[in-house]
Amino acid sequence: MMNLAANRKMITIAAILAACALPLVITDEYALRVLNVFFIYSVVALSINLIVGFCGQLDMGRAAFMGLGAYWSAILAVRLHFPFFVAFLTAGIFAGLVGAILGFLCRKSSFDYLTLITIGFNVVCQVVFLNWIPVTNGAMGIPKVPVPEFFGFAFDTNLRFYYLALGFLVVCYVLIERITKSKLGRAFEAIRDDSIAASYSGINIQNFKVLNFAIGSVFTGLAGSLLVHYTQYASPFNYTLDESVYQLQMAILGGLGSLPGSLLGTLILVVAPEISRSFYEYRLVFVGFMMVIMMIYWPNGLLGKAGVGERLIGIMRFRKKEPEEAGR
Amino acid sequence: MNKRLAFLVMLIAVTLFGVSVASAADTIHFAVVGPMTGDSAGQGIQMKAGAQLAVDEINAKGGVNGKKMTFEVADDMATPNQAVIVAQKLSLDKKILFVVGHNNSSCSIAALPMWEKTGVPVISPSNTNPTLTRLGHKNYFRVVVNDDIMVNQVVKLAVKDLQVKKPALVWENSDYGKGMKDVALKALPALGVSLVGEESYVPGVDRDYSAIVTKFKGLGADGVLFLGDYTGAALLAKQAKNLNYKAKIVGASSIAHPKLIEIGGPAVEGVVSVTSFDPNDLRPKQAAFIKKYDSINKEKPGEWGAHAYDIVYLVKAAMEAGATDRASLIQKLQGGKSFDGVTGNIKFDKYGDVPDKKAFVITVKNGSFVSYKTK
Amino acid sequence: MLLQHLINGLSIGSIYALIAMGYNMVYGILELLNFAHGDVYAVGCFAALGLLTMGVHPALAIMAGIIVGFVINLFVEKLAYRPVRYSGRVTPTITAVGIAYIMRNAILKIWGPETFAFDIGVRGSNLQFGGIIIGTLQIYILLIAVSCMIGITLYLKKTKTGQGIIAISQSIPTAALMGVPVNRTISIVYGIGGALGVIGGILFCIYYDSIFIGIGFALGTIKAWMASIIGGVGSLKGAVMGAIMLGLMESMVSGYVSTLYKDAIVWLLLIAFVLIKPQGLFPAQVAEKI
Repeated sequence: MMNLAANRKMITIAAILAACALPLVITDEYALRVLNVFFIYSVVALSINLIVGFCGQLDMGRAAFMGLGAYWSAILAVRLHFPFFVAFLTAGIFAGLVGAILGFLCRKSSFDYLTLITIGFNVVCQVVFLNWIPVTNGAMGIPKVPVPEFFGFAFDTNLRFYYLALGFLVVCYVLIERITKSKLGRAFEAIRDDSIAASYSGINIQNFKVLNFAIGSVFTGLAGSLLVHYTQYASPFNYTLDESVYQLQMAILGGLGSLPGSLLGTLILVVAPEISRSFYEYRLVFVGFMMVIMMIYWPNGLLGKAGVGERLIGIMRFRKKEPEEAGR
Repeated sequence: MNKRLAFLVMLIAVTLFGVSVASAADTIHFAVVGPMTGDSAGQGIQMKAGAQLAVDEINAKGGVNGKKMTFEVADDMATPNQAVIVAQKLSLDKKILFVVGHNNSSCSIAALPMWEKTGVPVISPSNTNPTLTRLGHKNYFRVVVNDDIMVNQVVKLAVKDLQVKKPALVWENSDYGKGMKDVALKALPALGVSLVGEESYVPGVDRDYSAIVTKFKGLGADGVLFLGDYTGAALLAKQAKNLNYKAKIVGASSIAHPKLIEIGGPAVEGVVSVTSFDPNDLRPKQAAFIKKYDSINKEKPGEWGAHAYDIVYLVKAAMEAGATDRASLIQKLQGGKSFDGVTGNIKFDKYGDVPDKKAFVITVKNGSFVSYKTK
Repeated sequence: MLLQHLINGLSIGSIYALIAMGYNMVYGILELLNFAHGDVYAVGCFAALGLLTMGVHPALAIMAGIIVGFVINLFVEKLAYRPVRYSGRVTPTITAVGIAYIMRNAILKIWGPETFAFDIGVRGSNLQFGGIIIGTLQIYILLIAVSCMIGITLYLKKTKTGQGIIAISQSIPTAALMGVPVNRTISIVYGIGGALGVIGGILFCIYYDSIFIGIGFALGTIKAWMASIIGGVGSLKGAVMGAIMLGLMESMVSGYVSTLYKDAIVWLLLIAFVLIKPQGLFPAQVAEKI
C-alpha cells in the first residue's frame, strides 16, 4: 500500500514537472492555446465529476455556472474596472452562492427534478445573458475583457497564460482531491451509493447535497472567469445547453468518480477534434456511442457502487467501501 | 498510469501537428471559416460551395497571376470561443493569405483581435451587424450590405411604398436580429410613424407564432416588419393566414430564400423583402452563376454562397492589381477600385463597408420571387 | 383576444399531449429519464418525410414512420437500456443521452439541419365564432390525442399484456415472480412509446407544415418532460392535462407578458411548480418506488 501511494505521488510530481517543461517542446502558439483551453475545461470537468460522479446529482446545466462566473468577471473588469484577481475570485464566490441557492431550493427534489431544474436554470441564464442588455450587452456580448494581470504582470501571451492555467488546474485538482478524500467526500459518496443508509449514518443528506453543489459551482465559476479573461470576450452563445452536455461528456468519458479520468476525458474531447479532421466531423456521433458503451461495459466509479437497481431485484450488493460507511 | 501515458502521447501528437508545413509559393491559399456543423451548418456549407465554385473556375482558366488557388475549411461551430481557437490556428499559418468568414457576428467580434495580430484580412460574406465595422479593426471587410442600410430600406419600403400606417415588428433574438431591430427602432420615428407592437422569437426553436399574430391583430397593426430567418417568416405568414390576419409582411435579406416559398406555400404570396442577393436574378451574369451553382450543389445559392463566390473573385482582382501578401492585400482592398460581382458593386469605404452596394426589392408572386418596383 | 389566446394555447397543448403520452408511459412505468424519446421519434418522422419525397402515399409513409419509431425503440431498449436497467438512476440516463446524440447526428448527416416543408395534402379550414377562430386541424389533433389516451387506457386495463405492464410498473421482481415476461413487456412499452411519439411528431409537422431537427429534443423530449412533470409522472391523463397546461402557459406568457423572456418565465414557473408540488397535478395511482 505504501509503495503504491509513494508511487502515485512520484507520478503526480513527474507529471506536473513534465507539464511545466512542455512549453520548451511545444512552441506553437495554437497548440499552446489548445492546451490552455484544455486546462480550463479540465477544471470544469472536475467540478462536474464532484457533483455528478461523487454525489450522484446529475447536473446538466453546468455551462450556466461557467457563464455566471464569466459574466460576473467580465462586468466587474470591463465596466467597473476591478483588477483581475478581484473579479476572478469574486466570480467563484458568486457562482458558488448561486449554486448554494439553487442547491438549497432543490435540496428535497428527487433525482429527476434536479436534472430538470439544472436544465431549466441553464435556459433561464442564457435568456438573461441574451436579453438583459444594460448589463450583459445582449447578443453582442462584452468584448475587450482585459487579460489576467497580477500586480503589473500581465499574462498576455499564450506561454504566460499557460503557466497561469496550469497552476489553476493543479490547485483546483489538489483541492478537489482533498475534498473527495476527506470526510466530506466520503459523505458525498455515501449519499450517491445509498442515501438511506447514509442518512442512518448520521449524514444530513440535504445539507451535504447543497454543500456539494456550492463547492462544485465555485470551481465552475472560477473556470468560467479565467476562460473569459483568456478569450477576452463574453458571449451568451458560449453557454448553451449543448455546451453543458459537452462538458458532462468530458467527465463521463474518463469515468465518473475518477479525477484523472476527468483530465483524460477533457483531453480527448478538447484536443482530439483539433488534431483529427475526421474525428472532428464525427465527434458528436462518437460521444453518443461512447456514452452508451462506457455505461454498459466500463462503468467503473459509477455502476459498481450504484444502489437503486440492486434493491429493485432484491439482491444485497457487494460493497467495497463497507467498513468506511459503517464506521460513521 | 496508462492514462498518463496516453496523455503524453496526445501532447506529443499536438506538438507534431502544430508545426506547420512550409508553404508552397506557387499557390494562393486561403481559409473559409464558418459553422460547418450544428444548426447553422447550412450557411457555412454554402460559403464553402461558393468559394469552391470560384476557385474551380479560376484554376480552370490558369489561376491568378499563374498561381493556382486552394483553400481549407475550418469550423467555428457558430460559437465565439471556438472561433478564437480557429483564429489562433490559422492566423499563424503563413500560407493563409486571407479568410472568408465568419458567418456569425459574435464569432467575428471574438476572433477579430486574433486575426488582426498577424494582419490577416478577414472578409465576411454575411456579418450584417452595423457595429462590426466600427470596432476599429483595419483587417476587417464585409461584402454584404450592412443592416443600417438594409433595414432603413425595409422601413422606407413599408412606410412609403406599402403605405403601412401602424407597423409592428418581429425580430429573431440573436446578434443578427437584435442589430436589425435597433436600426428599425431609430428609422421608424424618422419617417413619422411609431411602432404599435414589438415581439421576438428564438430562431431554430420557436415554431408557434399564433400568440404574436393574435396580439398584433388585437393592436390593429397593418404591417409586420419581419427581421429574422425565412422559416420564421414562412410560419408567421401561415399562422397569420389561419387566423385571418391580413397585414403586409416586409422583411430583410435572409427571408429572401427559396425555402420561404417552399415552407410558406400560398401564405407567403405578397411578402416583400429587401435583399442583397436574388436567387432568381435573370441578368446574364447572375443567371449563369446561379445555374452553375445549382447544377453542382443541387440547390440554388443563397447570399452566403454568392458572397463567398464574390469574395474570391474580389481577391483575385486585388492580386492582379499588385497585392502579394496580407498587408498589401489589405491596402489594395481599402483603396481598391470598385469590383463588379454577382451580388453587385463592391467598393469598400474606410470602415470596410460597402456603402455603394445596392440592395434590391423582391416579392413573392404566383409562387416565385419577382422583382418589386419601388416608388 | 383572451379567448383567442386560450384557443391558441389549447392547440399547442394538444400537440404536446401526444408527444408527452408516449414519454410519460415509459417514464411512469420504468422511471427512466428518456432523453432519447424525442430524437428517436424524430427519426421516424424523417423516415416518413423521406418516403413522402419519394412519392409514397402519405398514409403509407406515416404508417412506415410509426413502425420505424416502434422498431428503433425496441432495438434501443435491448441494446442500450436493458443492460443498465438495474444500475441506478445516473447510468441509464446517460445512455439515453448517448442514444439521443447518435440519433440526432444520424439525422443531421442524412438530412442536414434545415427546415423542410412537410406537406401531406391535409388542409384544415377555419371555424369562426364571433371574432374567435378555431382551425379544424386543431380539433382533429385534440381528438386524436384523446382517443389515443382512451385507447391506451383500455389496453392497459383490459388486456393481459396491459395488466403485465401495470404489474411491472409496481414492482419488477414481483411481476417476474407472477409470471409476467419482464423483458418482452418492457420492450412493448418502449415500442408503444416510440410509436406514440412518431404520431405526435408527425401531427406536429403537419400542423406547422414543416419538419426540422428541433422536433426531437427541443420540442419533443423537453416539452414532453415538462408536461409529464406538471401533469404527474406515470399518468396518461396527467400527460395530456400537463401538456395542455404547458401550451396555455406558453401562449399566455407570449400574449400578455413578453416573448423575449417567454422561455425563461415558463421555465421559472415550472421550477417553482416542481418545488411546490413535486407529485404533479394528477399523480398516478401507483405506489412510489423510490
